[in-house]
Amino acid sequence: MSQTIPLSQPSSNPRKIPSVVFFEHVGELVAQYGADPLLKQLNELYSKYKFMEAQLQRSKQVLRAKLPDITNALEMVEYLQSTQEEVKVDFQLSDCVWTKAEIPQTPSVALWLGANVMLEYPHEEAIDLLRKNLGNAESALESTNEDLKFLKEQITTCEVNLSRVYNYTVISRQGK
Amino acid sequence: MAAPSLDILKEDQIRINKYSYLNMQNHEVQRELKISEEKVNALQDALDELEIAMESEVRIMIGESFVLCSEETALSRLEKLRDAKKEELSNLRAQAEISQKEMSALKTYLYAKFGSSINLEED
Repeated sequence: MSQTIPLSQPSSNPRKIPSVVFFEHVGELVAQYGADPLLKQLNELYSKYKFMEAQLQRSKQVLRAKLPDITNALEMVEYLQSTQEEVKVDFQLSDCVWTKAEIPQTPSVALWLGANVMLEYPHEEAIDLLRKNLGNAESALESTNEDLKFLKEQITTCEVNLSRVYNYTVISRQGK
Repeated sequence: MAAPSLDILKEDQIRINKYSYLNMQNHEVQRELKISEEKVNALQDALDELEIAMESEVRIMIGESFVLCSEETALSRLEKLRDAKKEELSNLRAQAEISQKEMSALKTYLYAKFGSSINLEED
């Protein structure tokens, strides 16, 4: 017979990640559920948390890579807005190929929005849009970091629970 | 982490979790510190080169392209960037110091309480 041991509980985490139940006395838990089912379910819970942590780390990398792109675009648009004359640039045409360009005074810029769509905006609107995107990316990164912190706490508690149960079984076996 | 003792108080679990989180965060901060330091050095080198070169027009990097501009524009832009990055660097250093102080306080407490049942070193 296998019963689900209440090892995790709903938490106040905004993304609804459950938190690990902390128990002060290992002995009672082992007596109630048995060491083997306990260890098995604790291990399962642990692997779930570790998997989620790896997922979040990956999405954090993606977000971190996006930030410099947005900041570069913002920098350039702000510079174009600030100059009163035409701008001469050297830009990258492709890998290892750079070329010169003269950018005349224009009231607008075109922003690549993704999905093969490019829209023209006046400078002010372009800067607003880019700043908004930057803000969104930064807050997404912040909430990912928050989740990673929460996960780290659960993982540590889980590890401690695992080793306590294991040690208890070792010591009780030695005592017999 | 190695085997802790059998019965643990909730506050101690919280302390262990805090140490673990501070450790993770410290790694991140160290990584960012290194990047920030390199950026500050690069900007300072650029400023020094600019002074030595004495050109009237230079190209500076904006976004991913190089824009031709006057020496004064380049100078003021670089100086602003360098000062901003320097401030960022000192904030990071302060943050690293705070979390390291907290970590060593937690370490002392946890080692005093659990002795050899706990291992808080990097492997």
